[in-house]
Amino acid sequence: MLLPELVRFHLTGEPPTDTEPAPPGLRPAVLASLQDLSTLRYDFPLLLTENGDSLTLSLSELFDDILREVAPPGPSGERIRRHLLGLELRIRRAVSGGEVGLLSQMWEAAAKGLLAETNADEAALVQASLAKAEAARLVDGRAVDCDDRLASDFLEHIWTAVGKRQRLVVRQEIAELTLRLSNILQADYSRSQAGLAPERLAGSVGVSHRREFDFEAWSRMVTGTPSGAVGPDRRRRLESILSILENQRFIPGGKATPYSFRFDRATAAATAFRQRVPEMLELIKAMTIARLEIENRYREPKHDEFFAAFDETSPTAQDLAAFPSYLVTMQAEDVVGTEQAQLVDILSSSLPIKVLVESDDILGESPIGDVRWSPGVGGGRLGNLAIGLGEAFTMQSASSNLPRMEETVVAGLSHQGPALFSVFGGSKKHVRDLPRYLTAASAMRSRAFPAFTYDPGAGDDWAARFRVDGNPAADDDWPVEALTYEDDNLQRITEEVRFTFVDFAACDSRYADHFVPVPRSSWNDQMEPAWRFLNGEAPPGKVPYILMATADNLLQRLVVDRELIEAARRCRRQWNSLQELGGIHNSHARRLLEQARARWEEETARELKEVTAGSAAAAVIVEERPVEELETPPAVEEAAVVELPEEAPPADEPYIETARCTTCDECTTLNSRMFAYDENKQAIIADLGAGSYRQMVEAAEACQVAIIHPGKPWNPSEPGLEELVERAAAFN
Amino acid sequence: MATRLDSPPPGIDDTATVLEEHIIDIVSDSGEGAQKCGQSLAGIAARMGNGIWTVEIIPAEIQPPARSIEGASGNRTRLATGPVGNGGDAADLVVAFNEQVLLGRLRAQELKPGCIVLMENMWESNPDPEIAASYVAVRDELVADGYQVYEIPMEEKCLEYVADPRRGKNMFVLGLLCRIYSLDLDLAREQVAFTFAKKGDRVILPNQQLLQAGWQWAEESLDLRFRIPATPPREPRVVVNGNTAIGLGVMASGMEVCAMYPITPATSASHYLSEIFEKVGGVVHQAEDEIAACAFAIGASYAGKCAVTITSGPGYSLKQEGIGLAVMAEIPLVIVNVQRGGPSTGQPTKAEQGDLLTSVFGSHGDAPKVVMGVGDIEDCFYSIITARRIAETFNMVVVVLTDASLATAQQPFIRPRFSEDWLAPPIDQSPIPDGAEPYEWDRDSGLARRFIPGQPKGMHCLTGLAHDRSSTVAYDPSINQEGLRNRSMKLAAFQKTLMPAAVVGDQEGELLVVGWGSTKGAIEEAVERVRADGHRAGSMHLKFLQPMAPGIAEAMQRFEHVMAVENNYCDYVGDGLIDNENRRYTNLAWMLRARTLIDIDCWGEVRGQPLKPGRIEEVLREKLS
Amino acid sequence: MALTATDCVLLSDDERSTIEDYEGGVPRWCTGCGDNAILTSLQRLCRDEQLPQEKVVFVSGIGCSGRFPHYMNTYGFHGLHGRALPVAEGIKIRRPDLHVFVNTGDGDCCSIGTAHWIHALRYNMDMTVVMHDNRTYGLTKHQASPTSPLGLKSNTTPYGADLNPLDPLSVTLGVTNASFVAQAVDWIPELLHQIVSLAFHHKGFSFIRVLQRCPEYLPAFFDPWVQDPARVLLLSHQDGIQPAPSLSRTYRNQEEHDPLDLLRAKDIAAGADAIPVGILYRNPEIPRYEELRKPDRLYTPDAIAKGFEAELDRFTIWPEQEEKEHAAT
Repeated sequence: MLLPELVRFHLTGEPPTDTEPAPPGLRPAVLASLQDLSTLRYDFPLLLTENGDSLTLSLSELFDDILREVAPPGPSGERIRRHLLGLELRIRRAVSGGEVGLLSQMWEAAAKGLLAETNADEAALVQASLAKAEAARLVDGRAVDCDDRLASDFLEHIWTAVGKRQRLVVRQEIAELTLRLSNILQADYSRSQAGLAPERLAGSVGVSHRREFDFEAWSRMVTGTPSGAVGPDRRRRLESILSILENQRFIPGGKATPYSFRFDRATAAATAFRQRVPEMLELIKAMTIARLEIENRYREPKHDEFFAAFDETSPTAQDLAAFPSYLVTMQAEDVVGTEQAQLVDILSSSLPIKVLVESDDILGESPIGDVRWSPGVGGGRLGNLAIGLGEAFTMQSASSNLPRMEETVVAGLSHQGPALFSVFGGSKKHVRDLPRYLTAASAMRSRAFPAFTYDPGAGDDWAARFRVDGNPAADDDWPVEALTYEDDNLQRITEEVRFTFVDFAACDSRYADHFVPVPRSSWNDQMEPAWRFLNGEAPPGKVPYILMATADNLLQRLVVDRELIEAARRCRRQWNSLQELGGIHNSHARRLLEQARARWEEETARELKEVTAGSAAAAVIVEERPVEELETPPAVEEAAVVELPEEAPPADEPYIETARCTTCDECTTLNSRMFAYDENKQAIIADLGAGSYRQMVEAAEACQVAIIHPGKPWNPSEPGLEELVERAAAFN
Repeated sequence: MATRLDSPPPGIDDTATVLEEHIIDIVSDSGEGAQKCGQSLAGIAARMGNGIWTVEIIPAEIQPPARSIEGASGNRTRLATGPVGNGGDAADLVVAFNEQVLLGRLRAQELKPGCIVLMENMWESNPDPEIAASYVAVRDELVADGYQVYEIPMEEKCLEYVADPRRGKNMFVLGLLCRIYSLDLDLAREQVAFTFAKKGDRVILPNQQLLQAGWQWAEESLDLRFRIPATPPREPRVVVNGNTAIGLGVMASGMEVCAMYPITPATSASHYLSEIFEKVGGVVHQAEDEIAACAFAIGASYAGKCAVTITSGPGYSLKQEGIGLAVMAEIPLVIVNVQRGGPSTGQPTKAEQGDLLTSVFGSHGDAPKVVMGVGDIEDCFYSIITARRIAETFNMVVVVLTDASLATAQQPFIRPRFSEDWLAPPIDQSPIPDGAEPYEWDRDSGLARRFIPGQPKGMHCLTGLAHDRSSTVAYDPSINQEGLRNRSMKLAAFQKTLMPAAVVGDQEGELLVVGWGSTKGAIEEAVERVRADGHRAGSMHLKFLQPMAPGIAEAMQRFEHVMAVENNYCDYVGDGLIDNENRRYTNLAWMLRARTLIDIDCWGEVRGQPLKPGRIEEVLREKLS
Repeated sequence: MALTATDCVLLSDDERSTIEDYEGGVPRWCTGCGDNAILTSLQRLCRDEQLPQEKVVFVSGIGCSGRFPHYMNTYGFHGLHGRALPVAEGIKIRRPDLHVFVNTGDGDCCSIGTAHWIHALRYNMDMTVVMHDNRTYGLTKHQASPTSPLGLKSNTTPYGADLNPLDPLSVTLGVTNASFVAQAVDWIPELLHQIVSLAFHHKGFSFIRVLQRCPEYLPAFFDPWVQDPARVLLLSHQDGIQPAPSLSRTYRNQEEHDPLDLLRAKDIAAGADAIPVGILYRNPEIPRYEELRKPDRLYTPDAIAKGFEAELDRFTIWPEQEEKEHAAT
């Protein structure tokens, strides 16, 4: 195979004449060692736990926890470790073999299997290890693998758990409101004529005392007390809201069968929501009234009117948060037509509808054309679209990454508005040679389907709302991988490669035309790794290739055509803009920083010029300061006590330091018209004219805390002023 | 399966002597399980339909020395064909784990002359010659005095099944007794399983083996065979002791708060309540002292949650100031006084009825309150329900008097059918009508509606000072007069709801015996015995001591003599300086004399034990002669 | 804070209480009595917090401080000498909706009611406790109280008090579970009010000792401190009181004291020269008894019936037929 032919292929997509078909089982070279996942201890199988601190837990984490508890360091611990890892492996194999069910069941089967294969000498020891582990295993739950059911199982599991927590609180409140409302009626009844009727009284005493009482007489004796405080209007109101609380269908625990909140179409969820709105408003209204009634805060003249006009605008976000969210799970291919339109409507609204869209193909053809016109847009577009809508919680992730997304999913399900969870589950149809887990993981690594989270509830700006840090090497265009292999001379070689969109596309059988396998004999220096091409690091005239491994673990180079390189660049640009939104390499920030630096340099230079020009004698050293410091304002020395200007007391006029008054009544007792209390019950001079200077001086003397300052006399004709002024001096 | 009255149960030989009743004492050192043995025996008999009454024999110390006369611990069971209302007179059969505890019962005159004695025989071969000699001496004395002594190798037999026979003898003895009294062995096995249910099969199985062994040994080696015919129960019944019944009563009364401080013999009621109360939302508060317990209960009650405080003698004295406040401020409050011997620390574990006058007149000034007496175990339960009802209807303090003998005694009663009407109504938080005042005393009944914090427009300052209708501190003398009148009037109002006191037995004749509280069964039995001899006698048991039911004086006038019989102290004319001018009467006699102006006599005894029918019978005969 | 529609309805209510709404009877304390400052401060607190009058209970014992509830237009409980605290505990145990305040005096709290004081600290129930400490018995006309200084002449100590006074702050700080300990003086109402407000917002047992002048029996006793601001030590902190600048000009003797610093608090309490004013100790983490003993389910007739029947089952002897039926269910 000649180089010019390869160049032509690269530029035009026309394969060389001697192209041989790609050998079967080709897979990215960096994944070559991961063929049998069941031997690996990784995130799967995952337990959807029913009783644990977290809602999910990987099988290996569970076993690590158990081992920490039951396997001490040393030989005996080693033995236990060996036994239990054997058990774990069996469970792992069972799950990857397609078994479904509770961990406890699989555990039992695996333990049986393990014992069956243990020789008689060790059986007792294995038994002991198993018993210890069983006792230390505190959690149970369904064990799931990274397969096509994962995303919906995972989401439904967390949705159920989050909902249960939320509902428990609401359920308790409804139960309590119901009880306390009926208590109002019950308390009223117990004081009423009926409640004090002879037969009620007879029922209320101990059986051994029934013959001791004349209940007719008792009843006559006690009906003299007032009764029946609940008037007819209030009774009607209480009975009506009680009935609403008891018959509501939103929260389990009432008399009626609760509604279902699980849907497989966005349209169905939206319709159900709308149909239930009147009933929901009734319930919110009933709860609102109930809380007022219980606190005796319902004022008929005012509140009757308010509640008559109670409509969709009345409930607060807090009221709505009491209600379960709606969960919709859909396949990406079903998000078309009305469903698509409805989904956009939902995501633009504030409805509590949570939508999972699962796709198993992100490289497929779009309705508007093949890869040439719409490369790699498949499942990714929904997530990008949802971000743009602004207020919908959005999460995008490959299914392989879900075990790390528990908190995010909880946040999305707890978010008050709509949420979209867009998950790529790995393609089975077009990628036959890789397990789903690896396909999904590769989609994320290659940036074909990056993970991100947009949480509008987390803050007001992008920095708070948007995260891409869940992706591998999120700061880079593509993550760096170390590829180790043996060359022809059996020398161990480690090479740094990057796993790009091209490598990901190479796994998909529909993209075979974009590659030409090159036999080892034709490898040459003009061939350059594709990632260098993408980075623009390749000199002209070279052809890009990627490394793949054959079924028997031999390296192969595949030359890539230009069209795919272009598609990969587009993919990188999309990734770069996601990075920017997530605060990585933000171009606005970079630009601002550059401008600031330039300004600073300019100013420094000018100052330097001025200084040197002004005083030749003094050598001035200007220290270079980092740019950031310029942004902060000069530090202000904070005073321990902010000194306020002294209140200039009017020298001649009497006054009281009211804030220091202890309400001791001395002055007000002396003259209650001259001295009075303000709204905080502290003394003020209310009417100077209502008293004499003598009284003012006496009040100053009587004041326990000496806060009355008599000033100068205001009526020169008052007798004995001279002496009074002298006495007043001590208080002025 | 159950025993029928007319014929022996299948599988039981009918050579057994048929008895109307028997009293069985089982005594051991503390910790050897004689109490459990007696309770189980009673349980089995109750299941078969016998009437039972059990009395605990309790040493005063937690760990009395082994083999001591005062250390006797155990249980008396009175087994009868029909219902029984007291523990009876003296034992017909006694089982003793050592001769010292046996001696204790003998000295206390608790054994019928010539009764059957079953003794553990291991002591005779004890290496300590003193012990061996002591055993032989007691045995020989009993034999000489005509007791039917059987020596039982309890230790020896138990060692075949368990390593520590101290922990197994009681079940061996249970088996023995089941055989002697022809009780159903299957029921006995069930009872053992029930007794040790919490501990599981590991404990149940060996104990069932011991039971079987005791039965077997009696079958082969004893010629004692009795049968006390029973009527199979038709209705479910419960078997509990008095303090447990009080705990159940608190739960069923809808009270939510119990404040207490540990004191014997009241505490076990709070123990039981602590175990069960939280499950239904209640709280048992162990306060820092009796005074605080009372104040805490008053606080809870004031805030709308009618509360109970449970105590005994010294604790009851400490609560007097609080009781006065509750009376003055008209806060409903239930106080249970499980009476013990007094004054002062007195006899903490012993039975006495000495607190009646204290309860009626306690707290300084005029402090009217309702005082109830409890006659039997069933009454312990129902009295709490009734007391809560009265307290909240009349806004009064209600004192429920029970005592140490009822506290630990067991007697079956018909399983109560729960009624929501027993429960306290919810807290009233409705607004108070304009112009209403916190003490709007009704002119006739003295009753006023209670204001509870949280009720709008009901704000007022409750006070222990004399106050007027608006709860304002009264400085005007007529206001104090009015307040005292109204609080007294409530008692009169309550009295008007009571039915006339009933007389049991002859309705007129030679002698009327009046009693209250735990002596009910013994008095009624004693009166029956003298009536059987042709005397015309009756008894009257007062459940309400303050106020008292109407018609008491009228009933007394139908009899030649009236006598109060109580478990508290009185003087006797002719004893030293005592004459009719200085004689002090039993509690109830004081009150009845004052109220009826009838010169009634009284008899009382304070030996720390429940009154026995035989002793009362003697007293009545003397009076009748 | 997340609001419900109920909150919105309530917040839009135009019924606002004024200080007069909380005023009860006309105080019968002596003119010039420091209790007036405490009364004003608590009335202001109720007004500031807009507490519904019917949801407030002031509990007191006996003594001048005992009259306090009569002067509030709220629920009041003027009970027994020394027993205000257990009454208040009983009120609070099942009524979390009520705001409970306790007014007690140096005799009421530190003498006859000492046991209750110590244990109330241990229970740490949510209530605000003001100890009016005028260092003498006022209502019974001038006898020595536990906090009277050595040598004080009174009707029961005509030749001078024999014993050193008890220090309520040190005692309080030494009790397990003490969660809020503060001291105020009646003659600096601004700080008294700040302290009362912090105490009210503390979830737990807040103990405030207020040094309070008795114009009748100890008219000049506090003069040295009232007249010399240097002898008052203000304990300021961002989690404690923050004296206004105008006050700081008068009271320059200040210390920045972290209310979580228990050791320093004990030192300050034991210090002899200056009267400390402020929050000595505050620990919001200590569990509250009423929370610990809170029922975990609603107290409904059904729940009681179920619990009761289950208990009876433990003690029941069933007739043969019913036994089988019962076992079957």
